Amino acid sequence: MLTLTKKFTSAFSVSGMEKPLAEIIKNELAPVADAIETDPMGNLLVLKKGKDSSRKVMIAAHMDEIGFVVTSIDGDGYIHVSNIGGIHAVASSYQKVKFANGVTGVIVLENGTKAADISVKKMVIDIGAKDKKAAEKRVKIGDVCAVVPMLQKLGGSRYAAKAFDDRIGCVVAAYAALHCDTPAYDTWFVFTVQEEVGCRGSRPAAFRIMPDYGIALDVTSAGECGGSAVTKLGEGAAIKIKDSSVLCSPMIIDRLTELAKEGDIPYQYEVLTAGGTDTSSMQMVGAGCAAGCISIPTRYIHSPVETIDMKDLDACAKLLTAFIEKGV
Amino acid sequence: MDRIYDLAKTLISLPGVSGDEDRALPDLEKLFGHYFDETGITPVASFYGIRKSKKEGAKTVLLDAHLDTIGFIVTQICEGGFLKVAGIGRTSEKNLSASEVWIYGKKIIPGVFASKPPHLQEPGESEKKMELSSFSIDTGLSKEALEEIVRVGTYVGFKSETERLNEHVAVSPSFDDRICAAAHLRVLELLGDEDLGINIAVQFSAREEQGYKGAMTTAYRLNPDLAIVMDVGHAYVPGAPEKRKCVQMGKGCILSYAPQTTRRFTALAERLAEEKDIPIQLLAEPGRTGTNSNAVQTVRGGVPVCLISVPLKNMHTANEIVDLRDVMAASRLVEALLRKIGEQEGI
Amino acid sequence: MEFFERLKEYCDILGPSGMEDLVRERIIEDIKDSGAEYEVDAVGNLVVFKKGRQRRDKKLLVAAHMDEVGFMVTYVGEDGYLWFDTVGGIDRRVVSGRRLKFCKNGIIGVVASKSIHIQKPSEFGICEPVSEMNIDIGCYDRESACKLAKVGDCATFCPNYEDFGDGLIKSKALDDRFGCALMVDMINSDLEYDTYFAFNTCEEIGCDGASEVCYRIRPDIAVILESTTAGDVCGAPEGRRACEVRKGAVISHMDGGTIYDKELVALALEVGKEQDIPCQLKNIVAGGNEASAFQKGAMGARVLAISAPTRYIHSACSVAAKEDLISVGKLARAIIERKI
Repeated sequence: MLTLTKKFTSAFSVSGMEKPLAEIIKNELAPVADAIETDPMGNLLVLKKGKDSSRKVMIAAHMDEIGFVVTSIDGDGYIHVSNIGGIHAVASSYQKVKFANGVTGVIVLENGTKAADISVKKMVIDIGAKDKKAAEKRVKIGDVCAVVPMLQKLGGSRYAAKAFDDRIGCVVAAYAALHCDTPAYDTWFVFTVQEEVGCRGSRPAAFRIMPDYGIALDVTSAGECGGSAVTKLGEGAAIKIKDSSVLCSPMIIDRLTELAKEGDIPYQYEVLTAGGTDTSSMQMVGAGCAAGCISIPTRYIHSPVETIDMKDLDACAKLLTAFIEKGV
Repeated sequence: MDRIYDLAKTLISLPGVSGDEDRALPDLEKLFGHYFDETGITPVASFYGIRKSKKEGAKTVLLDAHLDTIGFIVTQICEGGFLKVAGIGRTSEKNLSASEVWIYGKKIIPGVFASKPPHLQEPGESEKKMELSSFSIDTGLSKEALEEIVRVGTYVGFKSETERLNEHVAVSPSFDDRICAAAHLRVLELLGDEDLGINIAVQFSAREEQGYKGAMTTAYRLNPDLAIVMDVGHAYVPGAPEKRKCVQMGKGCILSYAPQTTRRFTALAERLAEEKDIPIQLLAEPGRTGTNSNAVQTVRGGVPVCLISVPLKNMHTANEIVDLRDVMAASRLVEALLRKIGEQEGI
Repeated sequence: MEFFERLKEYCDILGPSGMEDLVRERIIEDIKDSGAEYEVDAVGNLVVFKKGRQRRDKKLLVAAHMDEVGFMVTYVGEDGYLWFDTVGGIDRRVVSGRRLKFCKNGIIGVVASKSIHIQKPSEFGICEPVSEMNIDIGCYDRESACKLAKVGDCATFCPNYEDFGDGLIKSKALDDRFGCALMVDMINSDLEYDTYFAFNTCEEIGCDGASEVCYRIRPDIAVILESTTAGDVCGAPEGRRACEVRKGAVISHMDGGTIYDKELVALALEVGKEQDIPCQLKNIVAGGNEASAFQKGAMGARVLAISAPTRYIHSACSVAAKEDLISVGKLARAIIERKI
């Protein structure tokens, strides 16, 4: 699992530019797939056939991460940006950033920005260009970049990195795909695009599949200092009850709970008053599907130092595998 | 009027906070299954029933009302048997102190929103802003006993009676939108066995308060040719902006002109109302209607939608108030529309 | 009649200060065969004298109040809404959005509140003062509203007595119908000593009834049976809870209106200990009750207050533990059975 985590977190995959990560995942899963498709938006759909092909399960994890898009370059060569997804402006300030083409820069705040006024509008990127002309040679309007920090081991089984949201969801899905026995039903592992800008990828993917059951894998806020999150880091797979986009189907919540109990898998519940996930797209597709989500407890979401506990990852993978193998 | 009130009272006695509608489904089937030729429930916890016409190639008209109600969800079980909750749909926090709730755990148990005793209040605290997160629900049980019944994610709804203030005005939680479900059922009762030459599909859709998911998925399954969506709308109350006076209690049902409804369908309803002397109040909603209308309108290749609403006061509280005469007007208008659509095979 | 059945019936009666008639009539009905003498004074207080097996040198009086907090119509608006004020002290936040029942004709009204959708963001979560609230009785003009309610009409929270949680009860008006119900049970039993019982009016607006009774009866000792605020709510600091539900009868040593008689307080604690009745001392100095009126009324009396710890007092849903109510009853009984 750690190997997959390293591999997946190393890729550049800002919303709209998920192809590099899709390639990595595709290569990883090719040996076990019964079919692999890429749809027009760039979603990667990997099928593992099940014992019962009359029903379909969709597993969704999003490949994209938040980032910045260049909106203008000023005379002094500073690059002004807009956000892609929900940027945590305080946490992203004074970080190294990297563009898709490899150009590296630092993202800083305009001089004199007061703490209370920190926002993406006040952020500029310095790529070391002496003026506009020099900058334009390396970066142009519409180019996309993200902060750099890669996987860093903290104490015990805990790690920090940018974009664990939702690479670790991809890791859990991929890990389950690689290691599960024959699924109960035809199971589509879908690695979705553009979740961070409003769950855009998962909609057409869900429509294509028209699943009977849907399970999303995403991160959820967990036990930060001074926070009020329901979910705690290191206390197991979080079975989602709600976030602001969805109220999960009780049937899925109950089944996941049952499977966790049976398999002695540590679990907890998640009630998130903010944030949206691909779960919602699945629930509302076509005539609707019973949808739920296994969430991975994560601290400091959308910061360059998102922090997870590998033990939770392990629990999530076990729970997902159990669902895939045993069905409803 | 009494019949609609009784229907509403029965419907309101069924639970169904958004996300927890499954609890209401078996009873809906039991109570109202016989109104239809075919009934079903969907993966997104909605109930539907279809009355089929004998006519070949009959069009299907969908009547929608949402099943879910607003409420709360447990986020924490605290020492002393208190619960912390988050909102499902937004209610008015100022009404919560010392109000009653049902807690829909393994068992359904009562609870009371705790109010802070005066000696624990800071001076002037009663004037300050209250946040839902600072409230807790008293269950009168020990934490251990409570944990047997309730978990993080247990749903909580208002506990209050359905009562009449006077002959034609009634108060209850969940008139949003059970009163409209009652109005639809009343239409079916009035039609009796009559075949209008159209299939009438009724859906009580889930998750309206959380993104209209039940309506869009159920309508997808039912694949109607036309749809009448019913919901509640704000009636003018003192203190509201002047322009809200366009909708007042007791002056008839609301007919909405909106991009999210279909203009010629609405116009037909307006004409019919005039013909049949049914009181209506026109409402312009140039943006979103905040109802299922858009969800149903955009299903599959698109469905013409007419939105009819019942004026209501105190929306999203335990004391939603409707005038039963307005509800009757809505029922009559729906009935008239169905007849007309049957006669002219469309709008 | 079983105590909690009686309590339910008492709590469900509508009786705001100044309109205690229904409560009093019911109490008289319940004690008229007890052999006790009773009298209703000119302002509505009910005083009962029950002979015991022995005379007592000192006059001992047990008191509870019949009235509850409520609401009074002050103006009928042109648009059919009723303007009102509270009768007794009620936190505006437990008034907002409640249903009320009118004493005169039993109609229901709703304390009107602007729904969340039409509040300005600056109004979210903020409760307007009672003077800006009004009652909706489903009328759209003054004329029709006046047929149902007029200036001076009174209402209370809606009756809602119910068992609650594990051995608790929940109701409006536990303060102080509970004391009334206890006294009725005592009057209907055989007593060792002669004892006076006072069912007072208008406690909630300043203990008026108690002052009048004190003047007429001139007790040497007054024992007040009351409900008192329990602060054991979620997150309340331990030392600031005043008292807690399920921890027994509350004995006051001092509150906002009274420094209680030291010997009587000691006696109560001693009796509690002797008879194994759970008791607690109030751990803050706040609130007040009729003890102050008896202590300083007429020639003065020695006073003791025994209270039931009650959460959310003066709201539509006060919550108390059955076991505490029983403890208060036992303790009060044990004390009046003493010679003192």
